[in-house]
Amino acid sequence: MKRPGGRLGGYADEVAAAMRRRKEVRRPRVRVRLDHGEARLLDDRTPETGRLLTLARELIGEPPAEEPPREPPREPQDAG
Amino acid sequence: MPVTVIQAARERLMGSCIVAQRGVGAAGLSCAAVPASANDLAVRYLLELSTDIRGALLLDRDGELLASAGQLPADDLAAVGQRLVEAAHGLSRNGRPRGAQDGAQVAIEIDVLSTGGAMFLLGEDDLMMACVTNRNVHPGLIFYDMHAVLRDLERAAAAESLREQRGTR
Repeated sequence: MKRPGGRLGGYADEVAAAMRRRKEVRRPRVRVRLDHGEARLLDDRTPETGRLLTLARELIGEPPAEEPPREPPREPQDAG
Repeated sequence: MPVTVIQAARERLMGSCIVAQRGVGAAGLSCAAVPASANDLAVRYLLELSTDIRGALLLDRDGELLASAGQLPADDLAAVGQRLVEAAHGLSRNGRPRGAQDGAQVAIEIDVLSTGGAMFLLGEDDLMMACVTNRNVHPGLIFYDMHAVLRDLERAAAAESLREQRGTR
């Protein structure tokens, strides 16, 4: 079956998938396993994750992560 | 006769100190006077087990720092250890499995992947051990080594108490 993007489109898809996988693996994450049960990934937004990441960075000797710049609040636009 | 790897390491260390004492004379006394504790040896042994492990620390369940070894750039290791134990307690309280009794120690494994490396924390019975590695490690293998060292430490403690009991009789 012929791809809609041709051969080049296929390569682009593969590169994009590889980049996505690489980014997923490199993303900081916290995994917990209790009482020899199943391991689960903690949600990035929980305070426990933030606390453990900070402690890990202190032990590793890595500078603390900078918070992403927040977008300024948009002014409400008039409907009329 | 040594029961565990840690006891064997301690005897080896004591033996080398005695040799140093005989060879150097009075200068060697300081070496023999300060034998490394089982906790220190356990942490050093963990670093020997895997070249990926940069540094390690051993804590009790109350957060007191028992031993540390390797490259750990944190300024106040005792405070960091205390906070680590508190964070682990928080997680084990929230995620306590059904049927587990209050106050019972829950085994906990935490691995944190950061941009510059990884941190592993293992809590079993009365002890907690944390170590810092490169990013490209297999978490299962690191936990396997940590389990082995903690088990060894427990066996050493049991053998020590047995020896003390025999000594008192």
